Amino acid sequence: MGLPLDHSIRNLGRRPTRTLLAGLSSAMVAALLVATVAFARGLEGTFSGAADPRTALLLSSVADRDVVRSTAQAGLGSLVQASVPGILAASDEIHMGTTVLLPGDDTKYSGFVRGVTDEAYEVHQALTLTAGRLPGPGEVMVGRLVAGQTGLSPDQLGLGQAIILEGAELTIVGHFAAPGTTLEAEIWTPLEPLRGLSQREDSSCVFVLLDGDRTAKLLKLFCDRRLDLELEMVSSEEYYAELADYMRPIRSMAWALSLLIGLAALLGGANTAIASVQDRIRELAALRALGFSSWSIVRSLLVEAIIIAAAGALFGLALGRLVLSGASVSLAMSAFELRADAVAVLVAFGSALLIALLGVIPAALRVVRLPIAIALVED
Amino acid sequence: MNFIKATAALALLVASASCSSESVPVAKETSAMPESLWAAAPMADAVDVLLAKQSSSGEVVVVKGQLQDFGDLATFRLVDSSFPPCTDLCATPWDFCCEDPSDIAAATINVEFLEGDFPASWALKGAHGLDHLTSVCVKGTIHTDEAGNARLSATSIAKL
Repeated sequence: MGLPLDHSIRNLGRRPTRTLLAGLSSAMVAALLVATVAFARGLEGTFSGAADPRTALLLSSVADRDVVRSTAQAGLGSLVQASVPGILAASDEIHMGTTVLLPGDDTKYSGFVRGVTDEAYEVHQALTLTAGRLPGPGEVMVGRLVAGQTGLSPDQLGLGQAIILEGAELTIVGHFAAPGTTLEAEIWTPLEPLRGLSQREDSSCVFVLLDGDRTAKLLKLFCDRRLDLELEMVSSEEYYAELADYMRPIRSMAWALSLLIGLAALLGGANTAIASVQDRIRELAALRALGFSSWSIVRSLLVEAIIIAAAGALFGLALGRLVLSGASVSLAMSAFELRADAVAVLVAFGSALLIALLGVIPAALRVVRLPIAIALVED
Repeated sequence: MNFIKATAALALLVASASCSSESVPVAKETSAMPESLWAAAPMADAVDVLLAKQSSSGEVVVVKGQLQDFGDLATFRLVDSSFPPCTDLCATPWDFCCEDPSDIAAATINVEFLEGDFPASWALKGAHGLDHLTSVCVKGTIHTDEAGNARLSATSIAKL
């Protein structure tokens, strides 16, 4: 004989405070899990999205693959295009961390600036202009995550607003997006004016768009032949994979944190379930004495736990969605968006349900194992 | 039940697709280095890289040195024998990381086995035991550009 479903549902209403607290606990677990998974996935996606199998970087061979430390001869992009057959575009770029100021405000913000030519828009195909236009001299365009990275408000980075870079006031004329890449946390401005402002004659590196594997080999040959330029060629897949590897400890820590949250919630849930069952031990024994099977009572406890966990998790996910929507994390000279995507939601919701199910097992075992006669007189 | 059958069929289809894609033979991009390029014995009158780089562009020379690194095509960099590899400090001693990079660049020549205008696509690494820091001598025509970079269009090679 089995217990009807509405028995479990009615039971939830008999102890509203305990039900509410258990539900809130599930909500917190789901919210914390969705946030940590969103963090880990956002970090993972940042570098994987930027890697393009058709793109390679030319960096200084003594810069340890650091674009900011790298220096390359000005005009190297044109030289490469003229020397290597099969180059579709070569983008000379300056990459630099700098201080961003606002007119009439002494507050200093840290930003990352990239000086580019028109070739950059051919090479970096993930980039999409979302508002305004491409910048000319005296102008900049800003990525979607620049506000999060610098600490400036979105209004301060609106079209027509001015920012001060390297002592020059520049007007924001465009906004861009490049989902899943580090570009979104950057401020882009034309290369030559930036070269003047930063008083440097060189570039940082050259991004090259290749038409195939043979071209990549010829580009490597160019670097081998031109020893005077001290160049190293790195495919963008390799470059961004190395950056992702660099972030692996942070990612691992986020996943470990998720695991610990889950474990703490499991132990807390199990304790609550045991206390709840202990309060009802005589009632449950009476049900068994009336002929309801042990399995039907265990099932009833599981249904109660799942209903509370599901309701709480849905609330927690809604809360997480509210807080995480559009949120980004600033990391060194870059930033990435928290990705509360389907995977994060499924992991958080599934974990909350699993924790509820596992947490009820010790309590259920106690109900099943305790002889009815003893349970009926248990305090 | 139909859902389970459909899922199983889909899983089989995916599995067979992945198996078939793995079993497609991949055409080899490179072939072996021609044996005719190997000299039976080291060539006479071999000079070190630094000395060879003083030769006029177009001159036929025999250069000896230590093999630094391989290119993606049939090329490698040859470094003057006077530079000791930095075995204690470098994970990759053939980078000569204890030396000034510009000194190494000045003592390096790019050796290329050409097929037409460009280096051939066969692999040099491993041929006759060629590896990083192997001492070799190579005969070929030296080409020097305005920036002082030298490359050798090689016609034969021998291990020292």
